[in-house]
Amino acid sequence: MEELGPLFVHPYQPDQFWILILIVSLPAIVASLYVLIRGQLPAALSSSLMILLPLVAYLLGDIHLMDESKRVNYCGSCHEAMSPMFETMHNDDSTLAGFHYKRGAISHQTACYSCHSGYGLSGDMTAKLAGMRHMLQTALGSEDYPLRLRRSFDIDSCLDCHAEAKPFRAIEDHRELDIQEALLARDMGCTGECHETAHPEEARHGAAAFAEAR
Amino acid sequence: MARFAALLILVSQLLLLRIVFDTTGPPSTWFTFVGHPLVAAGAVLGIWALTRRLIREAHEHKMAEREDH
Repeated sequence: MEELGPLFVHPYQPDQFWILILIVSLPAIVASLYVLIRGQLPAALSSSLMILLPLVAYLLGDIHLMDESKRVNYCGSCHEAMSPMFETMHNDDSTLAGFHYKRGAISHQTACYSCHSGYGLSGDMTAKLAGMRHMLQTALGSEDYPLRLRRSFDIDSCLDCHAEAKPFRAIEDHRELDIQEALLARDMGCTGECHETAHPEEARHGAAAFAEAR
Repeated sequence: MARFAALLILVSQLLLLRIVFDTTGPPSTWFTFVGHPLVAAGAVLGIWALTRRLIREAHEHKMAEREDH
């Protein structure tokens, strides 16, 4: 990337939020060690150093993790389930996800989250809850292959970019009222019938099966 | 009690520090599912230990005042 010049380096830089976490967490750690060795702190310091600071540090940690978990690298770190998706998105632009990714139609930093979070605040909240379920499944090794969506894909994620795009509006099928009504009623989705599924079928079976298939 | 609370808080903060330096899958799983219960339990035990201590100190102070009189 560097040989192309600084214009081609993504402007996203991780925030410095972690410094704030350290500022809050380190006194709590020192106080905990002190109590472990000496038995107690002065009462006036106990409530702040041993109770408030650890809780505030966790609140800051939650905010930090919420933000960082939007990143593609975070999703890809669950190796067994996500690495095939990750790999095909990076290397195979014949798929819908790869096509969007390689053309820069979605952010390279938050590509997974952009499409899978749904639309609006409720979409964010649903995505975070789903993320927690995925973390638990990964920790317990209880993923159910082949991976599949629990419900139909939220086409508002597609329409967020495409609804007002001229090429999208120019397609005759998109202008058919019957199709529009079926899409808005969620009786049909963008993928599966008209457009191919976003990720290749073999990527839904986990890293081991994907490696064998390739 | 205070030492046990301190131990829980210490472990929870170490789990927090892991996600500061590495926010990938396994550290975030530990932080979310182990760290939060630990910090909550540590805070509750800390409040409990502090309350008992304050009551004991108040009682001792009262007894000392009575003895002075």
